[in-house]
Amino acid sequence: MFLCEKLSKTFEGVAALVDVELRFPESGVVAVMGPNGAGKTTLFNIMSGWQRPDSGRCTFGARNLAKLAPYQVARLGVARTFQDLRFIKEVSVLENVLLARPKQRGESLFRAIFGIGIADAERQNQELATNILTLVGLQDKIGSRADEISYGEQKLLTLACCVASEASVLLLDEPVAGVHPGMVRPISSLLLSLKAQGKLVVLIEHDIEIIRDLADQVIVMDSGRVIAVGGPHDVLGRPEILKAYIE
Amino acid sequence: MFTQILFNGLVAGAIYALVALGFSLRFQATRTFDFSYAAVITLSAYAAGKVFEYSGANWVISALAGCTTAGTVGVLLDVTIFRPMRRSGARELAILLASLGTMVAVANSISLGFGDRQQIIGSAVTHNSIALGSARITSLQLATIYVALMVGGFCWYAYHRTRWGLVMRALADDEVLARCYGISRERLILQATILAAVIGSSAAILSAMDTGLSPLIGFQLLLPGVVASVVGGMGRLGGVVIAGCAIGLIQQAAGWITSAGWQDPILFAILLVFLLVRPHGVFGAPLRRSAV
Amino acid sequence: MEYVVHILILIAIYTTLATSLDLLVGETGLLSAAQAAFFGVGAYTSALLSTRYGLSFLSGVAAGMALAIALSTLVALISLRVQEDYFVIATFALQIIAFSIFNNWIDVTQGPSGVANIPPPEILGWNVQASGDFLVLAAGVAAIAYCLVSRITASPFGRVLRAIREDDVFTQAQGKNTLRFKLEVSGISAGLAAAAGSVYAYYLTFIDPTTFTITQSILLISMVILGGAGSRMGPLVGAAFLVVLPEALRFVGISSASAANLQAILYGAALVGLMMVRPRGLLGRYSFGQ
Repeated sequence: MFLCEKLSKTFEGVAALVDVELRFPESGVVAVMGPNGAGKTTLFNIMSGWQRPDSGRCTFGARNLAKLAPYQVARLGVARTFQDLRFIKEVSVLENVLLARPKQRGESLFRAIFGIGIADAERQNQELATNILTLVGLQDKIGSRADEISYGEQKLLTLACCVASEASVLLLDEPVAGVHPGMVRPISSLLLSLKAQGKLVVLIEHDIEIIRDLADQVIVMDSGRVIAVGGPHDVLGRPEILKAYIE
Repeated sequence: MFTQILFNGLVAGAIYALVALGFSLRFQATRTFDFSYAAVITLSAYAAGKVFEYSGANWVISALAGCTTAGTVGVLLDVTIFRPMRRSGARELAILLASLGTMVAVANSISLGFGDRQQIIGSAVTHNSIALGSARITSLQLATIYVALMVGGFCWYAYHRTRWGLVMRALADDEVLARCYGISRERLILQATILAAVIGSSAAILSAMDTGLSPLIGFQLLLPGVVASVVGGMGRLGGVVIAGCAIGLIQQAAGWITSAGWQDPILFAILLVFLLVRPHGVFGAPLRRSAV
Repeated sequence: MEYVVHILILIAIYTTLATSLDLLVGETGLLSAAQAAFFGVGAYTSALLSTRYGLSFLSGVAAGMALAIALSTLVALISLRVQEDYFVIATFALQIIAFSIFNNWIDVTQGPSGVANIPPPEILGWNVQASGDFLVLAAGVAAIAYCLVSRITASPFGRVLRAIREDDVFTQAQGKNTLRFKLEVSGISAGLAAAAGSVYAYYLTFIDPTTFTITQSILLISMVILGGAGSRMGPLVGAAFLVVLPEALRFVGISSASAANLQAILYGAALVGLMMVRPRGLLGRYSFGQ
């Protein structure tokens, strides 16, 4: 579904991506690893429509993402988390997840003013949002202000938002880094269940254990290039991969 | 007629260029639009005007008084209002609002203290005119162009040929990186504030000597300055200066074609057109989409 | 008693105006320096259509609102396509241009002389002439504005507005076309301001450009922030201050001109103080990120 063809991107003289060719599976868990500056976040930005490649193209279901605004890419079913942990701070955890719910008719101005037929949908969304928050372990923080919970909990919140959006592709930037160790297992199970639902989960991840446990496919990047693609046991065993990390 | 408009336009443009330069400098350093700049330059013009009265028409002392006032007020406002806000992580909107409030409070305080009427400063000497072709150009106008060139030249030198300028440009590009190199952002802001204040004060004093003092002089100069900044491409100081000159010319031409009352709206219509077709200004770098 | 009713009518009109601005600034986080201009568009449209063409109150109000909505959508479209910071500058531009039109286009607006002899409105058979009638009209419009804004902010649409206020990027990433929301909310805001302007014109029976200046726009902003951004009752509190303060100053014996200056100084200082210490204002729910 997701196809990257000869993607290249340069920022003020620095090559962030060089001739990246990737074919993502329809569903499953794919891990993207590599040292800092490898181009992982740039790849995510292009895949979610926030940046355009200088050359090459990225298509999702035959749609060229360069022609779409970020919100349109999101509507196609691509959800993401951000490296600098974005969410709405001055509202509650629940409001954040409610925001992520797609196709809300109450978001039309006409319906908002005349209040037709939005009460039921709101109720349903609230129920669903609560369930999702319970799933990620935030059931006790539903009413808390989003900026008053811990960093790990905020990470879980952004994950909950991605799930609530009913996206078919989730681009997660280090979903378990900084999270309470006890929560790592439930999150891993959640990601696996998303895979079982037929979704594609792409993770930027450094933790080798997690990659080994979860990933069906591993992509290794370095200095803007893809240096390895394959199954975790295959890729993680190669000495040149470890070398890339150490250097 | 045409040459007269040209001269008048260049003189007006010189003043707007200076204001735009100062405004953009502050923007470069603080990354916010600072409307309190109008307050700074208005106070400096009044200081110069009052000193001129009491010092027996000595314009050197008056100019010094004006510039000192500008620098002092600029630093004072930044240290008491904007720096604490930056420290507490205030958003740009909050800082913008505070700057608007400052501008209004100061302008009305001056109005309360000195009245609204335009007060003439400057003596007959400044209005001696010489003929240049079919146009007449006054010594004040010549002085204005001279000062603008001097100040502009000094800024260009400082910005492009000194280490300070290099640091300013680095900071403008990437604050975090600049901090890594031990460059204190607050110190840079202070320096930029003083420089901007002095530049703006010279513009206000020159303008006041031409058309008189009024509590609104800062605001009236700031608006074209802001337009010039946007049209010139906020960060590009050279572009901003050129835009200021262009705006002065357009304004004078417009005033001649229609009437004085329409000069401001025509300016702003130009601004809107620019936002529509070339928002990063004539010389600015294309705006990057929201940083992600 | 007449005097009290007069004050109440003004408070009602300015509450509508403040409510319209709060929807934009307090709820969506978009700063507009043109609210006085939209106030003026409504006032002048109603004044001119009724004095020159004998059009009815409702027609005048509708025309004023339509014009205001069209202008605000244009300005918003031009500037928001670029970056949000430019929205302020664009509204500054609109405000300056609008005031110049009020003040200089003498053929149409009669310039500094203003428009006088605005006839009392007639709304579906109801002749609004006595002060009491105007109070009902002004309060009614304020109540409609209040209900409208309450509905909007309590709905999913409102949820998106608050999200835009906080983090536009995150909101877009949730699949929301934030530009569309901003265009719509700026239209509603301008329309309500114009409606307030129409009532204002009919009540005072005389308008001139000095009510619709950039300083007035900034005072309105201060008023909204003082009352409290993002709250429903905040605009009422802010409007009450704005109307009562100059009257109180005049009562104490300060001249009109000085009172205007003093009011502006107080508001300017209040704005600075609030932004530094308590951006929420008195009743607000939004602290501008503090």
